[in-house]
Amino acid sequence: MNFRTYLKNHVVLLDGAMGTQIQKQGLPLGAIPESIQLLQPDRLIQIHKDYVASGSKVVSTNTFGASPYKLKNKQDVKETIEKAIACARETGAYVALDLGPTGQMMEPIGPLTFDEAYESYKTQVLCGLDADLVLIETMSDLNEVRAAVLAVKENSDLPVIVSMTFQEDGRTLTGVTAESYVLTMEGLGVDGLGVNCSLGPDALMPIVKEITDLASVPVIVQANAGLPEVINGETVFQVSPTLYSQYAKAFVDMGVRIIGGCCGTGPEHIKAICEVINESYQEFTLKEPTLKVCSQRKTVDFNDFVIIGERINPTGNKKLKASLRAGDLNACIKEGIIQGDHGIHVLDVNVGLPDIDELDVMIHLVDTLSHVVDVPLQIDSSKSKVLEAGLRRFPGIGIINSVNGKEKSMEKIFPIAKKYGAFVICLTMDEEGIPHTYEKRVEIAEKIISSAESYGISREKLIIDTLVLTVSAQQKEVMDTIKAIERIHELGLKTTLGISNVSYGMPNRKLLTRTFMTLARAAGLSSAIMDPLDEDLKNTILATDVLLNLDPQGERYIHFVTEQETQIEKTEVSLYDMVLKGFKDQVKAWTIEQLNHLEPLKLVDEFLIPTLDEIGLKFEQKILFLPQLIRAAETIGVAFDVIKSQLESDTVSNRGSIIMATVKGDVHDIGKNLVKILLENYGFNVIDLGKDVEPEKIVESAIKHHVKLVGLSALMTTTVVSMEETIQLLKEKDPSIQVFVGGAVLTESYSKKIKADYYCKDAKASVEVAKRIFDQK
Amino acid sequence: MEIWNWYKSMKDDVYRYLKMQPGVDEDIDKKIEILLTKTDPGRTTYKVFDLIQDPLGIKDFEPFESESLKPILKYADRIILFAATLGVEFDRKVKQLQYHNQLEMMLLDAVGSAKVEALVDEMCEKIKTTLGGYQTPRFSPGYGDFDLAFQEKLLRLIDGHKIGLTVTNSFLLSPSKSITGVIGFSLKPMDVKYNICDDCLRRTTCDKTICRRVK
Repeated sequence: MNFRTYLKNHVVLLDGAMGTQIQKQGLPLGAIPESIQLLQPDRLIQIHKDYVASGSKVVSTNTFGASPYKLKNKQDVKETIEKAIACARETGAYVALDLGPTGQMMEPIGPLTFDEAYESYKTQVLCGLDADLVLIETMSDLNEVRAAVLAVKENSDLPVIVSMTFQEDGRTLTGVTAESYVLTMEGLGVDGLGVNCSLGPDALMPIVKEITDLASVPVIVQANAGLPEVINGETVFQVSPTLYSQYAKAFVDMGVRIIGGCCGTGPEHIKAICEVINESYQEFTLKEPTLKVCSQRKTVDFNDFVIIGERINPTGNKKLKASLRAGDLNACIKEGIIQGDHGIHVLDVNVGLPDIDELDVMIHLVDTLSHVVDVPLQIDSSKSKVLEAGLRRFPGIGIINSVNGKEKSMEKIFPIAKKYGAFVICLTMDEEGIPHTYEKRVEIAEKIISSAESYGISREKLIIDTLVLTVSAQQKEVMDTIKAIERIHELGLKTTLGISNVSYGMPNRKLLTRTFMTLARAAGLSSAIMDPLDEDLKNTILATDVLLNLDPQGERYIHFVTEQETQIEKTEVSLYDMVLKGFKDQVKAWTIEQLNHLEPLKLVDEFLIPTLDEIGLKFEQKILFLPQLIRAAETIGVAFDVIKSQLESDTVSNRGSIIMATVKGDVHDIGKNLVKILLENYGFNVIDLGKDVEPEKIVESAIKHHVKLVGLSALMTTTVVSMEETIQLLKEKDPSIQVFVGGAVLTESYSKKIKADYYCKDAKASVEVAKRIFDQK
Repeated sequence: MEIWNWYKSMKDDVYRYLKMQPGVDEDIDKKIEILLTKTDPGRTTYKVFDLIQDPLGIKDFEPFESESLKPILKYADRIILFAATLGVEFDRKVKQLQYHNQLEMMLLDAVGSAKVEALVDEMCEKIKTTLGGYQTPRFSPGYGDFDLAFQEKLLRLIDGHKIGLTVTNSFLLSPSKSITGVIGFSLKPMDVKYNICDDCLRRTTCDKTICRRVK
């Protein structure tokens, strides 16, 4: 019987800890535990046999750390895994290929990319195809687990069971909640999921309960034998085999189907469990899966109205267009964070510009946004390759925007949605365009639904968009959109609309948009792709929900409705004081008023720059401190933003372009970011390449954008070497490029030694360098 | 250390990293106060090993190749290897602020540096209550000639991954607000005084910012 069939009708008893058992065999201190299969395979076989003699039906291979990242060049991955499987095979039990974390932190917090993690797991899987199943365990990072699961599913037919490690607060070390974990793993189609390590069985109870309540696939638990306690400098575990088996029985009664032990458990624990659980053939009732959109920390269930933030979209947005073309993602990320602070439930991400590498930009944006914004992402593109690439990187259950009723579209999109468990926005149009009548649109919706179901995608995952037409051009048909929403809502399906399209070409667009929203919500609209910064529109939704009896006792309305923006009091405070004290709202109001009677450039040259210079001078004189200088720069940035939004050209007083990067090998970017904001608010255009940047990438960017000044940062003595390499390469390619350097370990003399043109002791010094280089011309 | 002193010394460190004093800017003082109380406490882990003197090293493990460690561990008979981290959430918060609030990013960074130092101080106090005895000043890979590469071995010896700590190929710790190091231990008093800069082998080439503990 293969393992999948066995699992269907049995409670499965696994083995206990491997690490502690190997240590008992006298593994030298600091040695790789996976060396035992090469040096003393008999001992490893004995450990496995002891477990099987105690009742284990599955043994895990001794390959927890057998990844290219952990073995490095000390031991061959292939040999390590093949020998481990051979040892486990000696027992006659099912053999689980054991995969642990890579030991590297994933981007954007650490250096490991999703693709690198995937490749590492793929290497292991291809060496372990002889196993009966794969067990991915002790994981903390949701995307690392996803990479591992995809590596198994795309390179083998083996059943895959995952197990993450939770802390007392009910989250993993990287902040993943149990609910997001279950949703995401079931979305990828794993055969089992659960928890192991870190806590004793008692502390794991509430987390296991949450998981068994939610999961539709078999649940695995491998607890520690209590919390590790350090006694006389030795780590010991205190839960006895008998006590452990009582907990194991309780887990099985809660619905756990795969049970074993982690740190501190041994054959005696397994034997005790074997005596108290029923392993014989049983029929299990299968639970329906829970279907929700989620990020690592938040879920969205569409019970209440869902606001999908639309502002990351270069169409009609000059600032985003310009920054995307310059290869700078910061403006997009900032838009995401701002929308996150404005009450969105889902964030739409669209970077469709013809002259950029959309796929590359999408994956980098998804990597960062999924960490700095809490809500789930909606990947928005007309290219199916971009949709797939974005979903692949997103740690959670995302939404695809969009599929439509064209056969070609459905053939491309639905397999992707199925593979990643994604939700899908479905546009009610087909080969003949957008139908004029609502009946026809409902018909297309029904066609899309049945096609989705033929791919095994539940209709609960579909969000139907009945398409908004503009009232200025197609007034007669506006209500067809609403009627179609009504019908789809009656069918019990989720709906969405790009709500503001209705008012295109009309005066006071916002009024029309929010009135349309009232009609749509009354018809049953369940979500909208909209501007979350439009407070009136959000208030309209809250008000409508009270009137429609969708908000019991008006609780949400009372809690969230915002007052009309109060007029900011005119103050007699000088610009200098406003900027110094960080009064952003006042600076904004002041700038808007000044623009009524002053030319923008005059405002910049005669007010903003002199104010910054005055503050800069006080800093030089040590009257002001760096945090105050940074706050002033940020505050004056508000004035620059107002001016930029009112100008046709993207280059307001651009004093010159500068590339900034933290060099290869170094992940510290605080200092670099502070330099960047100062430079930007002194009117320089900064192209920020981020941290851990290859010398080649910096050179390539300098040549491509014709940049003559490059700023490099390094914080560690070990990474100053890459700084030197970068400078050398830059000077080779274009001797006219000037380089300034900064960072904790650098000194004036050291910077000379590595051939930098300028050493900057602090952020302000870099402004002086930039002025010297650009203002002389 | 009393809780109040402990908090005060942490706060002093924040201002020292920012190169400013409390009392000059009310807004900044208030923000620092909030960040200090809001930041997660972090996690620590340690293990104690027997130490041998000649050649200096952990028993049954490879010897240290560091001159700097010798005066510190001279009188110790055991060695505590430790790791501490504020965790990934801290890095994520900094990353978020990077895009829309640089002042707070800068303040939080300083708060994080002070907090992780204080976390290790607290851990040392706790070790004192559990193990008794005497401890030398702590010393981290990267100080003096103590090779950064030791961080990888150290994390393996004490299962640093259990508190979510990893080390990159260039031997940097991730999450960023983390410390690893060694402490000499003995049941007898040890006469070890280490002036972190004056006694450092790198004092002539360093601008005193590698070891952020320099007062």
